[in-house]
Amino acid sequence: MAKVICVHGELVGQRLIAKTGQVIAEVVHVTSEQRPEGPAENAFLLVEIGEVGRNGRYISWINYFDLDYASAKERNSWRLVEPAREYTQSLFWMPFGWPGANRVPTIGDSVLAKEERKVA
Amino acid sequence: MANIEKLSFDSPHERALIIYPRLPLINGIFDLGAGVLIAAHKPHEHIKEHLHDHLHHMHIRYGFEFPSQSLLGIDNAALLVMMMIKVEHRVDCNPVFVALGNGNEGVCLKIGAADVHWVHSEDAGKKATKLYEATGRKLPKGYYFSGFYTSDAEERSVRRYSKEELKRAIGFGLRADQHFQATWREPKDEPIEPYPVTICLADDETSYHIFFELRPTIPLGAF
Repeated sequence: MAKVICVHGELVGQRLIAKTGQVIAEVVHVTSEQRPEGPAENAFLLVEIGEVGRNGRYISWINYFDLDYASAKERNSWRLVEPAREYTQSLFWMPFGWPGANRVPTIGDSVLAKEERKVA
Repeated sequence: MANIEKLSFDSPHERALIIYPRLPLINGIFDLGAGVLIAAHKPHEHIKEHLHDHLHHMHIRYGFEFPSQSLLGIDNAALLVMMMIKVEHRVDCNPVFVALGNGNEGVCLKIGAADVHWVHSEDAGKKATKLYEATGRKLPKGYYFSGFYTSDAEERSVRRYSKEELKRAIGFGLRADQHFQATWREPKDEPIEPYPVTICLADDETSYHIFFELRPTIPLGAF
């Protein structure tokens, strides 16, 4: 069951619709411990912006390198916010995601894509 | 292929940045003794220097030694580490530890007046795959080599060290510990079952490299 919580941290990036530039998600670095109700200190979150509110979940990223990587993989779909900006938002907190959550590019994708092509 | 072809031209006795695997010197967090190389943890409280403590994660630890050496023919070099992990996982590095400091925080190895950090590199992963397969082995299905170069403090670009910087760090020999944490690429609420991890250590200037395998340690009396 998703809980509505208020998350504090820093905004380090945004996910966009490449064609329109519309912001559809935010990448947030959590700067203080908010467990058990919310995320852990130092975690990276993806906060998707929906019509009825924001949904937040953990991603496995650890720093700006991951945003650099995502930007290279999905051109015009990611924007770095650098330096980071203070972030406070209410959101539905579902730490391990929800059905249909969009995955994010993660280091190793190129190697794995090559392996998948070999199998196919 | 260029790196593999170089193997036949470089003599490892003439031009090599020699590094040997060792057992860690320093105990890990919680109940990880110095000899525990692979261990999985559930999410736990935040610990400084810990990258994935809020997620299910697997610790990967080893020590290494640079013996005293001439660095003949080496002007600059970045260090490389690559590890064979499951395709569902990603792995991230801590700095290199040389001792325990206040509050059990690690004291980081410095080369060139800065802490040694690591940046992900898919090229390094590909290099390890080629070197591994050049031994006649096949990468097991469901695994890949995740690779790293030494980096700047931001862990965004490769840092190469000069011969003088390397000499000052290695001196009459350097012994240190390295610690990594693997987690699900897409976080999920599921434990990671510990598994053996093959490591490759190398550099980007010579053809020297070394493979070794870390195995999960089962304490006596566990069953």
